[in-house]
Amino acid sequence: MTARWAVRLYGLVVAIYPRRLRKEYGADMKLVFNDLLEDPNMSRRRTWSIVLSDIVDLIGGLWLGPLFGFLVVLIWWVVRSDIYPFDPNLGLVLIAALFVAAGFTGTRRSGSFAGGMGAGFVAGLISAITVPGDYWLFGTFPFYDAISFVGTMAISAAVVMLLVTIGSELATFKTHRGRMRRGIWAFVGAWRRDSELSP
Amino acid sequence: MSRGRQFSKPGSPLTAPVFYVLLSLSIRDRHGYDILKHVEESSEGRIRLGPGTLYTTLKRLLDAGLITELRPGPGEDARRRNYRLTSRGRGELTGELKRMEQAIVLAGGRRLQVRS
Repeated sequence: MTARWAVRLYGLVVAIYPRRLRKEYGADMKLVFNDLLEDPNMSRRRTWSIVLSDIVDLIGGLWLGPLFGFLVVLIWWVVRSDIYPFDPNLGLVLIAALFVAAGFTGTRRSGSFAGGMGAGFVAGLISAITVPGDYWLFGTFPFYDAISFVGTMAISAAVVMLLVTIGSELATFKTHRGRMRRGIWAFVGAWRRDSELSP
Repeated sequence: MSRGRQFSKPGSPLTAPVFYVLLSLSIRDRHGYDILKHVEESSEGRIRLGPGTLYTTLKRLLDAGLITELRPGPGEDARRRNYRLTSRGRGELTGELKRMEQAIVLAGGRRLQVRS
């Protein structure tokens, strides 16, 4: 690939960055990419590997929540539409696993528990489209009234956030494994003492 | 977490790209590609910033007031923007270096050795 085509291709990569960054620094990013191409110490392969890791970072940072949300919507659509024979229970398990994965990967990528919760929250928001989707596409609306609708949505949101919390917790498990172990042992010890004292 | 909050939070460690970008600008003013090359050299190839990560980091640092942008001087490429470390940025970098120093002292006190 010639340098000219490589720069054109990188222009497409720049297009996926947030508009504000692109508007302010798009030209600078292309200039730096051009510098990388012209650097005699930098091979073309290495330049593209740097760009690829940049894209992975971007997807990880910005699109992780939406990505998991859309996967949930996709599984829901496959199960509901009968386009492919898919066990609904397996679909539910997969959706639950996706929310756990959203919390886990969000925490791992951002390096913070809040990052995982944020990614899971966004995934949950996007997957909420399945409720009106069910009505529009399949004509089902399993709510009696506004209260049952709000109640069911609140319980669903709580379940989703619980799954996301489990995922985020799993990602940070290593760092506070000792504290959790001590907590469990303290609880077991107190319970034993309580059993011994009771008549 | 917003970057501004992270930078202003006392005692919070800097991320590796932020640390190396500040370190690179503590030596002299640089433009984007110069920073990218210096970060790779000073981290012995461990930190490789792509153009996207570089400008995302620079924008966060500008927003947090840790660096400023300079207009290209006469005879310089007009397309290139140079960046300079502010006194606040120098303070953040010094704080991070002190944290590192304390960690080394602590590890030394416990007779921990770095395994190769």
